[in-house]
Amino acid sequence: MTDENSLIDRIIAGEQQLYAELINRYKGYAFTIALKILQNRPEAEEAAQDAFIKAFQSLAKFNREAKFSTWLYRIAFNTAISYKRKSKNIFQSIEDVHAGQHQEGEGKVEHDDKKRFIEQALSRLSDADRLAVNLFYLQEFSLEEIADITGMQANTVKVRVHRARQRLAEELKSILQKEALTL
Amino acid sequence: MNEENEELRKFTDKPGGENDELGAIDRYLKSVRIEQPSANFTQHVMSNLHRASAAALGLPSRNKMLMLAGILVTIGIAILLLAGGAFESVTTITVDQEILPNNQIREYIPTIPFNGKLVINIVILMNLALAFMILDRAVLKPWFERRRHA
Repeated sequence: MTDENSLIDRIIAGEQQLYAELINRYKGYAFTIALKILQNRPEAEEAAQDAFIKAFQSLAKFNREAKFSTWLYRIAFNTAISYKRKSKNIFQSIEDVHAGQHQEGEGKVEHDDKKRFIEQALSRLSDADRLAVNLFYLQEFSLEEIADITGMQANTVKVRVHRARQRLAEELKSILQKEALTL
Repeated sequence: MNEENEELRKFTDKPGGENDELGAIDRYLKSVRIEQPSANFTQHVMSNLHRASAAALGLPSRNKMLMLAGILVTIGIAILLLAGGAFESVTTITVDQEILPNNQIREYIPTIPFNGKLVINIVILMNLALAFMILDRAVLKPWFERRRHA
């Protein structure tokens, strides 16, 4: 924490190149947060990059009482939400199509189908619910941290995670029923 | 709150969950790992930081400066017109003629005096307040911020 604070001080003082260290440290989570909201890799990457630039711009205003990571993830969350509002177009990236094609034909069709159905059910959740559930299951975040990132109360996060799980189960059930009918 | 964290985690850790769907969801969500962006992610952000540096230096944005200039020009024109006596005469707005036929409304509707000079003075004052706010946000605040970090 102290190391991080001194690093931030040096960046603010003008050692701009040190910011790369912070990017490398947190890019995975920032990108994952954006991806869970946008559900599109190129867009998520752009949003995550934008979040890091915004964080750099506001670095001097960063309140040291909070964790830098939580503050950054909040920026990533808000940036991803605004990206989603800007472009409501849902498109599947070429990368994702390729990934799907590679997985098929490996004798894992059933497993992949289930995964696809769960992802479909997840996409029906609200952005905040989907992110809260994903962050919670990543085991790295406490309810308080998830609350800070998403701008909710910790108790609300707890209720949301619980309800989102139930809703996911219901959605999955209805998807599976529809699939069974089309067979 | 840590107890609540543990409680919820224990709840989601139930093997198989309450039904098949919940079990499948729990297993899937637990298998989700951190996604990694492309290899040139850091490089890309670093190369775009110059954009951020300009903002951090507190250079006023072009739009704000144009808006400020526009407001000042408007104030200037309004003052010139006012000084030239363009709004000296008191106009009246009459509503009981032509618009409303007299056989429907018996009572006399008074004319409303419209003091152009007063209205323009109010507009100038409001513009001045707006110009000061923009000047503060676009020029003064960034300038003091830059001096603080220098």
